[in-house]
Amino acid sequence: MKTLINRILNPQMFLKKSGQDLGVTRILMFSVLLYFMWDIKDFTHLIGSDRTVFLPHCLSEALCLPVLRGDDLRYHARLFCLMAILGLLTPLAIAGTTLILSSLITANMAAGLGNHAYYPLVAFFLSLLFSRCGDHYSVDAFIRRRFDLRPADRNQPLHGITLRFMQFYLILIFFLSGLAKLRAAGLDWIFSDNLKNILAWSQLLSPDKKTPLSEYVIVTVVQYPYIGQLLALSTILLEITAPLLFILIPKKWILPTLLFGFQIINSLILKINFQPWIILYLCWIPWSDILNRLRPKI
Amino acid sequence: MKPLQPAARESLQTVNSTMTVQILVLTTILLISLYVALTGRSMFPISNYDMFATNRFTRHIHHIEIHAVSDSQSFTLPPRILAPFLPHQIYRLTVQRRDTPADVLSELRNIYRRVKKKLPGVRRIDLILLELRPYIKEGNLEFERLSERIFLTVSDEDSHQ
Repeated sequence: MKTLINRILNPQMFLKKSGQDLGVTRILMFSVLLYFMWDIKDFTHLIGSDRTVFLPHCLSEALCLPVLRGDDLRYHARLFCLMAILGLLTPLAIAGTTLILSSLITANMAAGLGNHAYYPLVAFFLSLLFSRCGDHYSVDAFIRRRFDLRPADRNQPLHGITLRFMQFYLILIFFLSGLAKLRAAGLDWIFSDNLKNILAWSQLLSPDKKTPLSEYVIVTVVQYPYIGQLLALSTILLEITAPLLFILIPKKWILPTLLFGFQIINSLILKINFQPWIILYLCWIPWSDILNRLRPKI
Repeated sequence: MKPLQPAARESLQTVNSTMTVQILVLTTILLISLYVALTGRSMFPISNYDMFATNRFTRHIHHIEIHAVSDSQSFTLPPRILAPFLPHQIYRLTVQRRDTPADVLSELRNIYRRVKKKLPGVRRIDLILLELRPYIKEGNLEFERLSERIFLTVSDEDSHQ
């Protein structure tokens, strides 16, 4: 029991050089976002239409901030992302990026495009906002050191909690997806033609995204429905047991690798764009260990 | 045990209060996400990761096509003309969210106005609900139409409403 509690809480994770890990995670997360942000279709011109409530814009108005649209929005997004990468006025930069990302997502939703690739990022950035992730590898930290202000090392538990939260959140996404499937269709989601039909339907919806691999898999599944049921069972098992695997598997890299592999297969077959989710996996990598190993070689 | 220096104590108190705020914020994010996911709301979220979860294709595929009808022909509208009103959107309105025909009609009017700009010859568009069954014919994926019905129609007169 004690071992199990230790595995869940894992004090090492909260204390051991978490600040450095979080600093590198921040830099990489915002670098990846800077790259992918241009992929999000811009429907901000729909803001103001009477049938949709745009929460981020309501918030902007409440805070007496200008409501940004189109090119202005993109310009500020780029600026805030760069500031977050540099760690310059980090909380402000993260708050700005989160607000803009939320605006883009809600405008997308108003246009009927559920952009599931970007939803979880908002929660991740909100957690970063209160994490003091600018304590390491940032202009803020440099200024703090230069003027002998509060040292960063005192905040180690804060960094560890944020990293742990992000890891847990990612696992929760998978768990709730599995749960949603079972709630929607019960065991029929697995033991029926459901997955076979979903795969076939994906070809019907986006014939231009067809690749030889996706076509081969889909044709095989339609021909032999039990393969579809086996795939559905594996999917549900992986998703539902993700929290349990997180606790029980001592080697922490195994689960994220499994989940990442699952998403790669998804994107190859179903052509679901999960690329921005790379951001979500960055919090699993022990950056401080990697940097320490590289250091003597440099 | 040595008592803490006043500066160290002050610093520790700052960390503690920051940590309390942080834990409160993280708990709030988690609770909102859980609420959203478990109640199926479509704001930020977690469960939207899985739009396939809500599809119930256990027997056959429910699919939607939007047909444009001109004086001389009738054809399925390709996604590039419908964008940004993709068939997914109409699909969600009709099948997933089970909205009333009136809600779907207002979306369909928007689509019709858009289509008219690109294809002035179109006189009417039909929203057609299909039930399909996939099968393999000579190594290729084909779809058998099990049933087909016009769900809604929008013409010039309706679009002005």
